[in-house]
Amino acid sequence: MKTDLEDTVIQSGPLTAFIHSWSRDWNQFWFRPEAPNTLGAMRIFVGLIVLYTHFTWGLELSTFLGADGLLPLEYRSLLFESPFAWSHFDWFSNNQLLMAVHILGLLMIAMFTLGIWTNWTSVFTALLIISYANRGTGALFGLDQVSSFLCIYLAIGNCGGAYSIDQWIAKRRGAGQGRSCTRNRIAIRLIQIHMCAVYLFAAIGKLQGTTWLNGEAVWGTLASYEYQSIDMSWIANHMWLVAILTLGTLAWELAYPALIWLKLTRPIMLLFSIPIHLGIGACMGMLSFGLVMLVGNLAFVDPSWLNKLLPSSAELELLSEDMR
Amino acid sequence: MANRKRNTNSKNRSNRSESSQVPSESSTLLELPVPPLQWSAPARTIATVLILTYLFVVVMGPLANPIASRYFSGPIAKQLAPLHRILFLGHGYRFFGPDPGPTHRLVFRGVRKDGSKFEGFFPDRKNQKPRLLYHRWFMLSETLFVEHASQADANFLRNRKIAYENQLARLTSANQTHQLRQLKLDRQLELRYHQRASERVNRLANSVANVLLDRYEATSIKLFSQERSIPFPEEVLDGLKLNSTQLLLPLNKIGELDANGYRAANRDDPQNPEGSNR
Repeated sequence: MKTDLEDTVIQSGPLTAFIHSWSRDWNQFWFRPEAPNTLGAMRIFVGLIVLYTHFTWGLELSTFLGADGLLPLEYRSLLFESPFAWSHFDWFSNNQLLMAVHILGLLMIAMFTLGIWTNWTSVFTALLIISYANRGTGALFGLDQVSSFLCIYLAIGNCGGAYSIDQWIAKRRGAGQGRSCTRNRIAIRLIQIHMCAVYLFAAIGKLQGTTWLNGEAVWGTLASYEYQSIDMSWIANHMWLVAILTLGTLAWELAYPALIWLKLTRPIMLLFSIPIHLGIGACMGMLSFGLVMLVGNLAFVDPSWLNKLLPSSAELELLSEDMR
Repeated sequence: MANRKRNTNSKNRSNRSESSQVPSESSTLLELPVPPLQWSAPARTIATVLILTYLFVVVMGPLANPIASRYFSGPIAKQLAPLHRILFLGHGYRFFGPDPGPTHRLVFRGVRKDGSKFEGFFPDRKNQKPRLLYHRWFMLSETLFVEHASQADANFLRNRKIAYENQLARLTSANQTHQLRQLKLDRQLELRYHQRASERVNRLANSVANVLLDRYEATSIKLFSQERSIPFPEEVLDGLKLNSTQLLLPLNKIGELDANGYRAANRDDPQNPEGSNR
């Protein structure tokens, strides 16, 4: 049975019908309310990685980020020539105060990870990560870039709406589980599109070289002593494997921005992301980077799979009931 | 309706199984119920504009970094730079592209207050742990190398000056006022670029030298960048180890710090690269 609106659209001609159909799809793509489960799971994983990352900064905090440390403020100013590359560290010159602020920051990230006052802690965590990254200019790598944008998007969505202490408390008060909402959907979509941009430009960059096309690039990464964390030099005996890994990685990165959106190919793209990122993490000493990329890929995982892997909100509620 | 079903008391397990049986939307993988839109049309329109603007900002980052079009992405990215800085966007994401290249470590040689000499380098996997901290030191040594290498040497600057003067004379005689103005502007930008590149590496190297001076209680310290080549597979099969000193290239002096302050190395000094590296 056709609705009045559909009748009107059909009568108005194919262009109007196309616009209407496109508008409906756009609304479904961006604005259909979504449950907070995926964002909740991502919050925990990103939070743990960021907590570890910032704990590590703390091991040599004043050496790297102190006013008299390795990375002078003037360097960032000269590099960016912009007053907008902000950092809260610019306000502190005393190293003890710096450490106190750092510990407060770690507490903030821990609260975010656990999902305490998540609407606030998610925003502060995103700001904190950007601030550290801006201050750490000169000693950064992909980990900082990816974890910062993931945290921004988690702050946009209601990432405390599932698997959080906030939610647990809300349920105990009888407020019900975290509701589906539009900002969850927008956050997930932004993560998905940003991940596609990352892979697309990573692939474009590789196409400008020769070793990614002649199948030797992976040798260049595995035979680099400074990167090496597992001795993979045995692979010199199997250069055919190096060629497969090189061309396979390039093909996967090139295909990802398109094939990840198709129902048929999405599981394959996600499946390949696991060995690629874990391989980079394990063999090249960048486990945190490999993991954060995998967490970014979680945005594409069907929420029903996540519900099977992690206890759903309803199951948590039942557990909570049992405990009561 | 389906949304409400999902949000109502989920203690009832049968309710949950009912919800999961609602037909999925064919265009996505989601098998959850399709809830109705919550935002009004004007709200969605405003959000659409904001989302598209934001995505444009995101994409302009890698479109302008590391290579930008002089006529499109470059000028736009310059306008968007404040947003890129505020949100820490604007990265190129060219991980290991275009080719995985050789790596660089920073070697330092100094004299302690008691007159004894010392030498070290970073990144140092034996002493810098955990791995993420090692990686920070590694990225710092790479940054120092890149900044040092991006400086122009005297020969290059001399040639650029000659080329500029030739072009200037040619355009002046042809009375090409518009091109002349552009040429002078480009020349100013070029000189400023080289000056700032020198300032950047000097500031960074000075800070690194200061930290090492304090750490080793030294009176003077010299900094060098050192490249490690990637071996050919055949060399490795012949028994060459990845940490072999044979893969290390000669030291390239960055600068030195002592009681008289920091001095950048003279890149045109025939004594630089100096000393044995192995």
